[in-house]
Amino acid sequence: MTSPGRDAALVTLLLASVCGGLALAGPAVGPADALAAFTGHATPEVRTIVFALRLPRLLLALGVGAALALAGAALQNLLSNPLADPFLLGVSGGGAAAATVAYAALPAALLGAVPLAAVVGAACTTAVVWWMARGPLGGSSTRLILAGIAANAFTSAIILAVVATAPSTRLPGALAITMGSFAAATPAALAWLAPYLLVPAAVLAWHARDLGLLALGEESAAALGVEPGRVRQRIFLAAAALSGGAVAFAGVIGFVGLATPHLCRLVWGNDVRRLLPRVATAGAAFTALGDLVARRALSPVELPVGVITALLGVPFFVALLRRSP
Amino acid sequence: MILLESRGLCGGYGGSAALREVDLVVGEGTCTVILGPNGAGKSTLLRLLAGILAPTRGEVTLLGRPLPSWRRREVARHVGYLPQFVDFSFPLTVEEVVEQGRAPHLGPWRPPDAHDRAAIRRALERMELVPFARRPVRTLSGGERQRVLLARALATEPLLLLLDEPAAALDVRHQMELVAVVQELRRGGTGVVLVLHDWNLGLRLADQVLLLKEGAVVAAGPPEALLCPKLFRSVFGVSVRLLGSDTAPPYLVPVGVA
Amino acid sequence: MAVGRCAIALLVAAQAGTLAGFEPVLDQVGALIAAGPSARIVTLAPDVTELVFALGAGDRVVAVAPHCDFPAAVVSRPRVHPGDPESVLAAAPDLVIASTAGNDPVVVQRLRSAAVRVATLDITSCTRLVEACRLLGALLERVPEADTLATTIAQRCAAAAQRAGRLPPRTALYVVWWEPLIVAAPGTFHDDLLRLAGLVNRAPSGGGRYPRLDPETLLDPALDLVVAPDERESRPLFAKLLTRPAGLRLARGSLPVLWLPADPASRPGPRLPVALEALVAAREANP
Repeated sequence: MTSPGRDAALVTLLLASVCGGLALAGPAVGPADALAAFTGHATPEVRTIVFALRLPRLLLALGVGAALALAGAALQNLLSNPLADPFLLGVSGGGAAAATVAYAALPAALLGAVPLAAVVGAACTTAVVWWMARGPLGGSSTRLILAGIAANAFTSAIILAVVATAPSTRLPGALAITMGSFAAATPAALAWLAPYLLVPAAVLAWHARDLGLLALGEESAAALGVEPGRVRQRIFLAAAALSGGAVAFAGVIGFVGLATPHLCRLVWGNDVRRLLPRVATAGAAFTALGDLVARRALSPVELPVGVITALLGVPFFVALLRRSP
Repeated sequence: MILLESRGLCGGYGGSAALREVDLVVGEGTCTVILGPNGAGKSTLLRLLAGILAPTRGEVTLLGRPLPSWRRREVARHVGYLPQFVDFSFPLTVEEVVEQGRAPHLGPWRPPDAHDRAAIRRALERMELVPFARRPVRTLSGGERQRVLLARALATEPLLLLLDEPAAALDVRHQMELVAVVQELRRGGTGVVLVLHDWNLGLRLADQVLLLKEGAVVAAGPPEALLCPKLFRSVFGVSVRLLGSDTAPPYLVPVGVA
Repeated sequence: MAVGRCAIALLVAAQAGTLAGFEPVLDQVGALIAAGPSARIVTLAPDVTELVFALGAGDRVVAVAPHCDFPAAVVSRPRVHPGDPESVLAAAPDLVIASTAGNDPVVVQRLRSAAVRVATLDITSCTRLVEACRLLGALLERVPEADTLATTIAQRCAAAAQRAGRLPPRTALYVVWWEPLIVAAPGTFHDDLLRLAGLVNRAPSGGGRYPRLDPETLLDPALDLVVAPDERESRPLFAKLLTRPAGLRLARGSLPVLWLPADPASRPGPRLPVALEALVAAREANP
């Protein structure tokens, strides 16, 4: 396929996820009625469902998908390690652990503070991982990944402790955080998420060329004009904000951050400036389609969206990986 | 014109100074060869000169200005550096890697223009990499990878090239090709600093040679002044014979452990 | 080996029981409970505790699960952790009573292999509740009291169901938790409450007993009403939902919520008829 052809396929995928999210997603309104909402012939109830319920949820899924995919791409290049993603570095785990603790322990009136707890948890874990990774020679990628693994072990222990001791009424909600969902989408949540997505995305766009140089290691990048210390700090913070924001509003959704950048590299090559917008688009479309499947598969029962993204993504990923050089 | 100068340069890893008091001047169109046994501090010296590693004492000046007063990208524009080790975990193609050489000139946003493309093309051709251009570097041999990295350094078109063991994995023909490239660069006014293991290749290329041992300069000067088996014996710990001292070119041969 | 020894122990115990005049019985998950004394009882769930007290055997209960708070006499009883066999064994029980709603079968198995008699109740409907009463009556030697309680429960449920039969059929969801939206599916006693009250449960089977639903379900025009226990914990979440788009029908009143007394509706114990009668009364008040 030619390069414009691939871009067209990606845009088609995005449009499909948008149409599906608006027209097919829920149990209460069928596709014909949902389409009527756009032509103005629908009842107020149908318009509420499509514009007040499905649209924010779709936008949240798109935003979180883009955030996770961008975070994955940034971390992979930053650490010159194709395995890196927000989960590997413990960032998502820190957010999820703080959110579950808050969910299980806060009085019911304060449950609105759970997203804030997730962002704080992700930020604290980021800081601790960063601190752990500092050695006498400065930071190194391997140390950072080791620190991430340690942080992950610790945060999953916290989550397990919460699950084991949470009062039974709080257990489903606490578990829901570890499984991921976009059900809580509201315009307010979108407004909160926006800075966590847009500011780090701008930082990554600014450092796109540096990210490309970092793919071959820090010494090689430094030789070509990257200031490794400062750039690494900025990119890591950007990735932490992206994944912290995602966890805060949608819980833990695996695989998007790991797989999307790989798939995009196989299709569009390694030029990070070309890659970033496509990674964000592909992550958004993939996650929104995952949410569509999560809602439709056993409708009206809702499956955890992280389960769907992994079930759909892994076979595809394995097939492409086997064929790549 | 003096491109790069170091005075009393000390530096290294983990506190213990690997390198002590190195004074060096690299002029326009000259070739400096650094020789020394393993762990003598050759790569450390190159990193200090490239500004990748901060010195613990002393200073490096580039075009008369201390290195820390330059922005990193400006340094990279003038000083090309070929690292000894590069991590190829990502499936970058040969062309993508060589393109990176233009990054110091492009900044965060500007896409490569015709001039950049011509520089990339010349570097690929010079290193005989055109047939490999679209292959992932991961699939190439060690020598081919070294040529890719050399092409990347050439694509930058710097005033000064710092090459850390560029010949280590090259076959004989490509070693000769490297010699030709270095000569061409010198004629064009580029300063070249090379770390080499092959004494004779080094002596043949160099305008000045730096002999390093245990972090200190043992001898420095033009190659003909250093053609002394005793000196090489004391630095490398091997017995050395000098062949063809009256017929050019002279040739140093290690004959056994001293 | 351990299993074999255990089986022999059970057989011997069963014979001893027969000699003493008691029969071994099968509990509601099909496990054999050897005959034996029931002087030191530990209950592992609030509904089970309520049943034992309702049968007049409360004085024999030596320890209970942490959440047990009814009747008042239970408040001062020592607590055990239902997930930890050691803490249960520390109470030196001769009979442990567990429930499938909330107790871990692995813990039950551990207690059995420690030669403790464990009865598991599996109350998934009012009928099963009546059966559970009679089973406990046999185990606790409270047969006449159990007969009375079982008959009362069955009669009250039947009477409520008869009243509900005069009401028009409606579709409903039994909401266990508002955010995330978790409901009771077929196969639970909540589903049986809905059925007896003349309501058709909109929650599908196949997604587990307490599936998580798409919040958009609350806007489905085919849904007539919602039943929910009036838990203090869930009130702020309900209030938050009213401000959300998904709570639009709830806020406008076009999707009525029938609130049930929380503990009777959440525990399949002797107070379950209270919940059913409250539900039918609420339906009659909201025609």
